[in-house]
Amino acid sequence: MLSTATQYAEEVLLDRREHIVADSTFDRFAQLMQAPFTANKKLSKALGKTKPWN
Amino acid sequence: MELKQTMKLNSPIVISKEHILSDFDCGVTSLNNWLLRKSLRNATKGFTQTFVVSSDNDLVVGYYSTAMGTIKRQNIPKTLQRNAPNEIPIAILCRLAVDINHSGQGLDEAILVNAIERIENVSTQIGCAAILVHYLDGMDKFYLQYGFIDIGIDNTLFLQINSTH
Repeated sequence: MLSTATQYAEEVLLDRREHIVADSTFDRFAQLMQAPFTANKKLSKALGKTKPWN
Repeated sequence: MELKQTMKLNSPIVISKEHILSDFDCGVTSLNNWLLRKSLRNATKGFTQTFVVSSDNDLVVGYYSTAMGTIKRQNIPKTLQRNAPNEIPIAILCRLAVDINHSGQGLDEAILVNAIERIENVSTQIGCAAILVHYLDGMDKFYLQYGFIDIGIDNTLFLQINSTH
């Protein structure tokens, strides 16, 4: 059984909305955003699958 | 087991007060509690939106929550010569969970795909440069297999928009 403190820490972690990052991280992020897209096989496959609710 | 296989599931829809949340158990207390106590209220106020997969009797068996967020540069440069702005809007997949009685059936994957597709649709209407997922310790492996990338922010992974095209 996890403590209340741990649960609270998890809440805080998932509730983050603003990430203020080091310039190097920000630049990497901006770079990745604009990088040519390379398809991920598992994701491509997942997109075509029949969904459990169909 | 056979009962589960034949149980009809409803495709992800916006959470409502008709949904039964109290029986949901994904094995992580904080994710169970959040669904039960905050998901509906947050959706009403527009803080997060939550989509649920339910069985025929409105029993929630999986969910995900989204919100808008931002990535900011720590030190704003004095000149405006950069290609990117100093603050970039992103969509956040804040929470994704599947009931333990429905795990191992690909529901987590299907829910993730639904979330990505939904966010990509939103990105055609509102400026949104990427998808970030926030994960609890140990859950990164799940997202990494689908092409999410670690960009050096704690418990956060990145996915390019248009990854489904």
